[in-house]
Amino acid sequence: MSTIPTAKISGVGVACARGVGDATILLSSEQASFMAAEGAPRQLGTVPHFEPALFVTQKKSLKLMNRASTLGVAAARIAVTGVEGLSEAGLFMSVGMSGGELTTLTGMLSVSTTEDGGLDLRLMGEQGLSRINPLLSFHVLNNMPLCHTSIELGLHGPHAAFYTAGAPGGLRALSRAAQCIMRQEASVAIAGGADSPLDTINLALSSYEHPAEGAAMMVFSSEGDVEWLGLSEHTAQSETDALRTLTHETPLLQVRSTQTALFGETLAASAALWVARAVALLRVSPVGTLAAIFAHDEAGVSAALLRRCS
Amino acid sequence: VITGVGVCSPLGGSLSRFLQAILGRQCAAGPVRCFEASTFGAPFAAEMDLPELWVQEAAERTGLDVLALRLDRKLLFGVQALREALREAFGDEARPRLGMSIGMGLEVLFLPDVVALYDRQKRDIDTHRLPLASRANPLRLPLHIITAELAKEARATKACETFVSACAAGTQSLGEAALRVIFGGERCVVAGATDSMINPMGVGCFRLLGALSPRPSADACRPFHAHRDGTIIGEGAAFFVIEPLALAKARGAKILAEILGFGSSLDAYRVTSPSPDGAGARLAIRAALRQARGPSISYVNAHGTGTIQNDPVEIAAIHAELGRVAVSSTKSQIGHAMAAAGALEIAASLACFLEGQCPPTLHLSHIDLDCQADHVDTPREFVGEALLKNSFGFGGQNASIILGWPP
Repeated sequence: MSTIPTAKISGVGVACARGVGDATILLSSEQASFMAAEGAPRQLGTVPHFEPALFVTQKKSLKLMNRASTLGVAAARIAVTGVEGLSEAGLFMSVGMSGGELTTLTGMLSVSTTEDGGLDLRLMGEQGLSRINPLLSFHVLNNMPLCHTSIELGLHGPHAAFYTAGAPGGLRALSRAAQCIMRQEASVAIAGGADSPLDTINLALSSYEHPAEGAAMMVFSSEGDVEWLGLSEHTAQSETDALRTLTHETPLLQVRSTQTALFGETLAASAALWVARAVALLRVSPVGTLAAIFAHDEAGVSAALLRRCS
Repeated sequence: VITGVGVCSPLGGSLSRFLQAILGRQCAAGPVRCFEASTFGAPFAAEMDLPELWVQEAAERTGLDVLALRLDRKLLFGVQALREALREAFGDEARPRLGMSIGMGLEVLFLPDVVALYDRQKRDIDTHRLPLASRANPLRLPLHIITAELAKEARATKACETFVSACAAGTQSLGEAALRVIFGGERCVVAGATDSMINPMGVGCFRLLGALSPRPSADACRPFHAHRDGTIIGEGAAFFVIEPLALAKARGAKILAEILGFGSSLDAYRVTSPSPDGAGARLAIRAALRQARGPSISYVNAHGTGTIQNDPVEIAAIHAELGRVAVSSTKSQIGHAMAAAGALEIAASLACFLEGQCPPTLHLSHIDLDCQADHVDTPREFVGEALLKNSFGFGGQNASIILGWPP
């Protein structure tokens, strides 16, 4: 009789304000270093010493990729180190708002605005359009981090790009990858999140003290040392209530996506980063084998539960 | 199973009117009206009129800016379709706890706001003029705000997922919702998509990519035609109420169709063009067939964009997986509604079960040799078990869904 496979996490790759590498870079509880933002009372978390060309094999793609895409590809490439048979693997990612910089439009605006400061759409069509980088679409489409990751890693399986502005949506992308394994849609699924909300528009929309870019990707399959036990979503704000549908034990490890000083507010990448940290902590934990990850938003609280199984 | 459908389209604002127009071979293509587009090189679109009443009502209800609601039209289209879907499914009945699955396209860049930041002397954008953490911003309606407003409209209390798989988002939102209902034990998920790219940056960027037809003609979008030269942008929304068969039967709901299978795949080829051998498209079709346990497919509602590259690849993929089968593209009537395309085209495909007729491809006077197939150029009787709907997203995200008669 066939049994339902369990979904386990093996490889983990991370690119965030703490650095680029495997899950172990998330072990320390030290605060990441942030940079002062120009003209704003807040600090930005950028990925230090990040060289996209080290992770992107198709060099021609680099000019098509925005920052979130390169971070996602880097994290995914680290996560799949040593994993074979990726061709039919699934890919599930949480992604954020388009990462275009307004300055890409200055050429168009220089020929499309009128003396009194208005926009002349006839001029925009006649002369302005040709001054817009034709590749702009690739920099702003929300699904591009997922598309580039699939191309770089050669993944052809089931997929979904979940748009999210916070951690609960990110947990759903990971949960979907676990379901993909349990329902045997694919034997391997890569999942996580990537975001770089440091462009002008994103910064203007948020009031976070430590906005940061980042990505975390992980490999789900029936093999691995940490099992994904489930995701519970609760409309009330009680973490205990959210966790109760998954376990009656008290997980000794609890990580919260509200602890932003560790790697900043990474929006669509935050849930994946917190799960990656939980995986890293579980692997070395002397105190327990269960970890809960809590993510809050206006709708309530989401709890994901992990167990170390070896 | 699907128990309620709502449509907001340039061919009509309810499922019945929409299907009547589709089977009546109406075409929504016309000059772009909502902005001065005469110099944009893509003169036609399939545009909706946005009633000012909707704008005012939404502004009052949501507190969102009137200008934002006029410029980013997808929230209002979504609200209309959502309301109709819920009304059709439940009437005055108490609703179960709802989850949502939404497909959406790109945020709209509000050019009037961007222009206000532009300093003509310095020839640069002065970002210091941007108000911080404010809704007065060049992206006034980020997708999570639209998602939250749609969830509020539906009074959804379960998870709301937003898929941004470009042109595959509509089909994916339905497929993923069906998986939640079938495997996840959810009692009801409202799924669908809403989008509008008929704005200066939307039309401009697609024009730069060479995807839009330059002809000011009703047949500007003519999928499978030998002289096709691009698509036209459409807009609108369609939402579907999806419930488990047993629950729908138990409450005596009218069942419109059954979702038999869903499959998705990645081209993993290039972000700029689909894989020329159609391998990605075939994988998605095969995955959907596998999940549906192999019903015989007698009609395919194609992605059929009318671009030179897409159409022959898709026809070859359909023939490789299904053999000779009736095919049509609804984009010949309503243009390419981008993220909402799949949802609107699934609504059009319901004509098979509700009217017994396959929807047509218009403007097919001269079929491309590379696109030869059993084209439905005029509505014809739907005979058989099931239909397949394909959607292929920019960047290589593919989704296929299989629908069958109401059981």
